[in-house]
Amino acid sequence: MPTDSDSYSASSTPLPEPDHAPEVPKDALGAVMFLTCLLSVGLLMVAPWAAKPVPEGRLWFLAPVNWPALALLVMAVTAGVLAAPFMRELISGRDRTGLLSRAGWAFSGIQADLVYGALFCGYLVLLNLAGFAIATWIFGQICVTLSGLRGAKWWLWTLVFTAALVLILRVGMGLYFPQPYLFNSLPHALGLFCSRYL
Amino acid sequence: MDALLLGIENVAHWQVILALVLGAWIGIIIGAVPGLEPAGAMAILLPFSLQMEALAGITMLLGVYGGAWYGGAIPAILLRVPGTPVNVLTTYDGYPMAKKGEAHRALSLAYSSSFIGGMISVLSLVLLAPYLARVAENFGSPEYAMVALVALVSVVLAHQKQWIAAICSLGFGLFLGSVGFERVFNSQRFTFDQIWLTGGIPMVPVVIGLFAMSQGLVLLRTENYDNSVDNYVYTNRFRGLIEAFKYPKTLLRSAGLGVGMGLLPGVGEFGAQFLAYSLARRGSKTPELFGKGAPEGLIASETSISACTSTVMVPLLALGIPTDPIMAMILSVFMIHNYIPGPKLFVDHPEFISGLYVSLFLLNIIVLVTLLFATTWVMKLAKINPRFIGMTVLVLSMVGSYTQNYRVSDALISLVFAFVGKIMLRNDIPGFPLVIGLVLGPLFEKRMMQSLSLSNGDPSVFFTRPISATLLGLAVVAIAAFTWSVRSQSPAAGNPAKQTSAAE
Repeated sequence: MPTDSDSYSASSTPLPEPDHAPEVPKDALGAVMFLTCLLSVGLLMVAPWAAKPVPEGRLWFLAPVNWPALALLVMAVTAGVLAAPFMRELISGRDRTGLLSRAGWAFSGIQADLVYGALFCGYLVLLNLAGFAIATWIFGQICVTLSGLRGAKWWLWTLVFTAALVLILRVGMGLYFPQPYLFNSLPHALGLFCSRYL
Repeated sequence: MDALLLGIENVAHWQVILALVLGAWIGIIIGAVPGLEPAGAMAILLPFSLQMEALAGITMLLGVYGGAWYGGAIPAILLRVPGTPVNVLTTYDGYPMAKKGEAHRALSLAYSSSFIGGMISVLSLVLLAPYLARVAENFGSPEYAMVALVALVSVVLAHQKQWIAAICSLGFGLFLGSVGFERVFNSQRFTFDQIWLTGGIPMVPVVIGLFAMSQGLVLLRTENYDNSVDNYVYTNRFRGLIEAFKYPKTLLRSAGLGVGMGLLPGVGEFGAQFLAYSLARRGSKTPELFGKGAPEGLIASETSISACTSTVMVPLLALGIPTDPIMAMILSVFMIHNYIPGPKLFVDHPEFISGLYVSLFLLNIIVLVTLLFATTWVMKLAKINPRFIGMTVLVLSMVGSYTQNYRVSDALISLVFAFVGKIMLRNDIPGFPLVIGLVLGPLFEKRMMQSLSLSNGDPSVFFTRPISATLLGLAVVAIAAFTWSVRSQSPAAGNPAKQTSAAE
């Protein structure tokens, strides 16, 4: 049976049987495929502008638009086939609220993912501002706290993890990162040292 | 003999040995920690491997790949949680054995079976790859186009329960592979005047997003986890090592199936283990014990999984065709170091090929020895909170995607594909065809264009050349056989709406 969260438990993880697929509500899959179908049809419609059509006097199979158009067509047709029952129910208008709520299963948990995604973008920005070590520690700390691991123990573990990563990647492997703004304001030698190792 | 010595000489460098040992250890850990997959770990390590010497980089990735299947048996036996998705059947007999107080016997049996399967797989690679490479010397564009077609068809057919979704995923991958600058008319496709898209959609960030970051997001939302590993004390580590040889038929049959299935694109470990397990049960004198702790079941499952690991490299080495995302990653390491897989590689760089063979033999030995002495330590890693692992995966994903070219766009592509991967994972839409489409699409398109240009647009070029016609026939027969099996086995499978619940 599908659950409402992506929770994972080693002891309660259902054992997959060789003859049973994990059950996904068909409306959820239908909704995903409906969106995929819309995307591919939308891209197909802009294909004549997004890629060169058959150049004059050249053979048809050389047209740059052929391959992406064919791929999008395959995508649109297969997604359409899988989305058909969902679309039929959506058009019929019966129990639309129920249908959309069942379809929402496909995307449940996406809010939390978007938050982590935004944090990831912030991490990339911070990387250029404060350097790898500080950015990693802040990102790691926020992620760990948001996931529910709170307290001094996890604070310390994140710090140890960051230090280990800096030692392995920056000191050990000499992995390069562009010099962040923060280290520009430091005295030259210190700034160089920090941007090299932190 | 000369080739062997040449190979040993190539491997006997500290960088290669270190990469091999590190890769094997990382692989074992990835396998032993449920929720982490070798494809994701390899994607994260890929940028680092590109900076190493070619053989070292490849052996590190292969170490992760090979080590993970061994390591995946540990939680499968001790916790009834497959460490990697392919270790599902190991839980069937491994866990009941552990419950009966035979954890050490089950682990030793799993290790020795994997070792035998792995060694047979490397031997098969050594024998088959040069032979196929010799055949491939006669290949032209039509033949390569048809090999790519066979690979694409096999990848779809391997997803029996979700074949329509697999085609859709493949279509998406083929489309992504076509984005960017195209060389025939020097035009751009679907770049919408974005400079960062001119070079196309890069494979590494896509793989990192699909397989690593999406897992990281899942792990960050883990609610609870079991860390009761200490209940099992791994004492007599050598018991069971020899026991696998008591079942020679099961061993050989499973290894043979693994080798054969490994050659087929997309089928790999999953197909091999299910077939090996069911044949072992059918051929057993005590089929009633299967699922209740039958050593034969455990041997069949583990041997067949490991027997695939090296043979999947045969099409890559001989033809330059990657048949799964992991091989696509290996291919990128080859290309970066200017080793172009295909028949010429065997002629131009025999020392490299021999080195690869020797390192694969060594890999199996290193993993076996490590596991015999370090299983208890490895199991302690399974106690790490998955949410903390999730954070680790996200950080390493950033490092992997960003530091390859120092482009923020690469890291953002990873992020986008993390969401795509998460939705695909949740809705049971296969992600492997997407990557195969992304990698094989440009190759397929190029070879098709070349073939049709040769024949002035006449498609009969694919039927009139014997090898090309045979490959095309193979693809048609595979599709026909698949359609027949779907229709005869399950009426529900014909109905797309019921596709996800259709029996395999």
